[in-house]
Amino acid sequence: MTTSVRASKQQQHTKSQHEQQQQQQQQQQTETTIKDDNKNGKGNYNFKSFLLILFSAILIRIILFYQGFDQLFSNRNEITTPLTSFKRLVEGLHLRELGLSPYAGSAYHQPPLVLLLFYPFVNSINISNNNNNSGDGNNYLIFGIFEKSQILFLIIDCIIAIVLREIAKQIPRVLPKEMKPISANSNLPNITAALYLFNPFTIFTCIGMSTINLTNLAIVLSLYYSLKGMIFQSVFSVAMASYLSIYPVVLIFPCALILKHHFFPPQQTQPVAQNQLPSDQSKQLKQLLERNERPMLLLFYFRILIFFLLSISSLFYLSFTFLNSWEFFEKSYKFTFFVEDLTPNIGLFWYYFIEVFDHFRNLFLFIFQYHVFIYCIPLAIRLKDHPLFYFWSLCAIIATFKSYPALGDTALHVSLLPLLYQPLKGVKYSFIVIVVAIFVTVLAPILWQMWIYQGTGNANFYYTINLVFTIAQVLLIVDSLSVLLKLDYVNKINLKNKLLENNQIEQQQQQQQHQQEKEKEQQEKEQQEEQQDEKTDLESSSQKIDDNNNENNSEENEEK
Amino acid sequence: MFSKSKRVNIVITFVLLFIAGIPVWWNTTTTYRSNVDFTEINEYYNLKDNITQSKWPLFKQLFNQVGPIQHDIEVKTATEYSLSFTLLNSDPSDIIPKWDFPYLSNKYIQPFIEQISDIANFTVQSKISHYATLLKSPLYDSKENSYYIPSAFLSEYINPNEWQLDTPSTNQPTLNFIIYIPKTTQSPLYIRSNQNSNSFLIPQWGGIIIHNVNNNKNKNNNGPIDLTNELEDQMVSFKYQLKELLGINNENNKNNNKNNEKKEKKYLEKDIILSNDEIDSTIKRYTAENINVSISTLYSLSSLIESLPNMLVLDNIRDQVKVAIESLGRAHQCLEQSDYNCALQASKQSLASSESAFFDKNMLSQLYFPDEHKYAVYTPLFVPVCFPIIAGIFQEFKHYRNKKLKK
Repeated sequence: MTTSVRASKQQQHTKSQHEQQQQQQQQQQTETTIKDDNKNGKGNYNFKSFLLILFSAILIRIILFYQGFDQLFSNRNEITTPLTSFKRLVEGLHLRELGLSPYAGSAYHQPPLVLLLFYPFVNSINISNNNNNSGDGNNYLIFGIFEKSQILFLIIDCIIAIVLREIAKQIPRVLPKEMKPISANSNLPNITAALYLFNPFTIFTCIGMSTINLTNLAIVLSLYYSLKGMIFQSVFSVAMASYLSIYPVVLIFPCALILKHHFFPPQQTQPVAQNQLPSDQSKQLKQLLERNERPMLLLFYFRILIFFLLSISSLFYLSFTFLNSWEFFEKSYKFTFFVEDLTPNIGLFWYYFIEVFDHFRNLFLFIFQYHVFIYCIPLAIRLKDHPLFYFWSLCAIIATFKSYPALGDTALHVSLLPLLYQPLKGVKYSFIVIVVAIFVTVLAPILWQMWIYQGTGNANFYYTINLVFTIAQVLLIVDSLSVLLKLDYVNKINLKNKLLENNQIEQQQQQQQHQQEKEKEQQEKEQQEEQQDEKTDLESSSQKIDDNNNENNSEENEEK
Repeated sequence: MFSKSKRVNIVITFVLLFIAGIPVWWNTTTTYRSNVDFTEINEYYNLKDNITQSKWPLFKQLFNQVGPIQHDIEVKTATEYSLSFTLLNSDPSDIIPKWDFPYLSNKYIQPFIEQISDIANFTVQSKISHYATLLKSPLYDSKENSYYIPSAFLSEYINPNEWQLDTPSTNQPTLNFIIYIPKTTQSPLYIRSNQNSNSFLIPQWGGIIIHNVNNNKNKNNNGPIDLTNELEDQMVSFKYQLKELLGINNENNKNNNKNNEKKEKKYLEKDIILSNDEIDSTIKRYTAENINVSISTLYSLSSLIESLPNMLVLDNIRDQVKVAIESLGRAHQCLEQSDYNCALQASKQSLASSESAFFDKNMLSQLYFPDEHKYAVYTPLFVPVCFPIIAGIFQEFKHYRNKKLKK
């Protein structure tokens, strides 16, 4: 017992040491990692086809930018919101350059570091304007300068696709329950990246220059680094996403569970115990291991919490030093929580808070905001063995029930669905959800046109489409969750059957031992040799029986 | 964890989350009602017939001393008045009038206001307006070669609401004083009545004077005509109108009518300055009326707050009511010492506080929101929320029973 415990601890220490070395190497030599990725990519996972996918996606976006669709999409309420509008960002930058607060015009409502990120891209517009005023009149220069911020949105989309592809590679290694191992020639990573890049919602969000892409990038990076086992990078990504739009703060729970699976894998203790020790002693060993792991787990979670608080505090302090005031809490985060702008969008808040009695406004504000955060703890209790699905479900809940949603939020959680293909093959309503999504995408602009410009419709038409869209997303979440729970139930039944069969085998072995004892009394040394041969035969026969059971179970799963 | 079962933990978590939301629901939807103390007002009203047992017995004596207060002509009592003087021209193509109103005001109106400044605060404003028209054309008298309006039918010819006077809307009462200049084609214009007067009062509103401009000056000058000297008599008339509207010097009018015509000039000069008796009686009258209105307002407010449980009552209502009642107490102390100026000042503060409490805008915010509407608001909220929680609890309870039965 003591030797096995020491062995498992040593294994954990060796793993942590290796990971630390890997992190140091990556920090020191980034170029070598790029080369290694290229080398691995050439031989694995069809890297060439991924390059083709990436190139065609970039080409589509450049064509749409060149045709001027950015002006059309950046005005759509489904694509940009008061929190994510690029035009408001430019307004904030101009106010900043004039020496005023970027929030002075009541247009800009994003955190200050977003302003700092876009400063070198948008500042050049003034230079071009000055040149035009001086009389140069270079149209090519204007085109080139506008292209800078558009290139930034292009790059963000490509980075997200690359990270999603890497996530698809990492999941079978870290979370075997979520996804079975895939071969080196599998198309799943490329399909994942392609379904993100060619999703119409993703294209709309990129061309519309919505800054929700920054939040999506932070969310995807948090998942990637948690699968890699990098605690600080993962927690910092969650803090960055929370800094950008508050609601992703709940993603700290699934990231913590994924990191816990990475550093405290549940399966390794079982084979050691089963191979070396009888069932009673293996149970005792499991209990001892669990007791030893609990304080370590608590320290682990506490460490994650400390990293998160340090990250979010440093981001707030950087914002304070940039603005010299704490104004952004009121203009950005209070604006989000108190829903001060009731411009119509694809969410549920705007219509409701136009109609609500003033006496009950604060109550329903609390209920609507509480509704987003209320699911994270119950889902953690139920889905702690499926942290990837837990991550996806929280992203979907945020996209559905946040105060200023847009199609970019939906694009994110739809793009994570290929990673959950194996457990969700049995989803019933996928066809309905897809048809409703197409229906909504086509009808929302039409009903908006009828309401605002033609006057033949009213607000109820547009809100009906919002309700349909919300119902489709809720249906997707509920259906996926029910299918996953059914799979868990089936797996439990299979495990019970295995245990029963193992008990029967043990009984047979006991009977055989009794027979062997009788034979010992009767036979001589030569007969002892014959007994050893019989033992080896029994062991091989038991192994064969186990293999047959596994095959039968797999067949049953396939049938179901 | 609370227990080993995941399902039980999930149900408990949802129940705890629901319980955490209840204080927020209570704090955001409860109508805030401050505790306002109306005991003194209610006691005074219930015991006002018994003079000896009343809390403020001297108020009764003051009311008897002043006598019944009438508002046939007088404007209602207030702590602030706004006086609006308008030079109203009928046709600017004939005449463009001009007046030096600060000179006229300082000479005729300000001394009067200063004498009665203890009663209330007066603000004076003036303006010139054009294109005023009569509802009907005045009648022509060929004998005297003039136009006239019968006094019995004044309301058919002149309606001040038709003239766009554009007075700013404030809480304080506004008294309007208008000098009307008729057209040249309708001049000279007189009001035909028993009295030789070209002016008249509108009760609780103000006064109007018709002024005929001399044609001789008009022919000579093409530019604006300075009417400052001609209008000095009109300002004296306005002063008498103001006295009448404020309820001063009612009894003396009767006595003055008995005097001879020779003494009229002396009478006019003498009454530019008010006598001490007039001022004292005015102070007593205003004190009595301020106290009476304050007590009535506070009693009405008390009844209103008791009868409407949904009405929002903020802390400032409580503070205002407290100040008003304390001011009434001070007024009573001043009456005990026969210091009527002190009593007047205290009664003014009481009136101001009680009226600001009564007309507070926040009190009306929930007035038209009956309790039945709350069912319409809460039913679609709590039924969908509570149903799955209760169903989950019952399901776990059944599950727990089945386990016991199996064992």
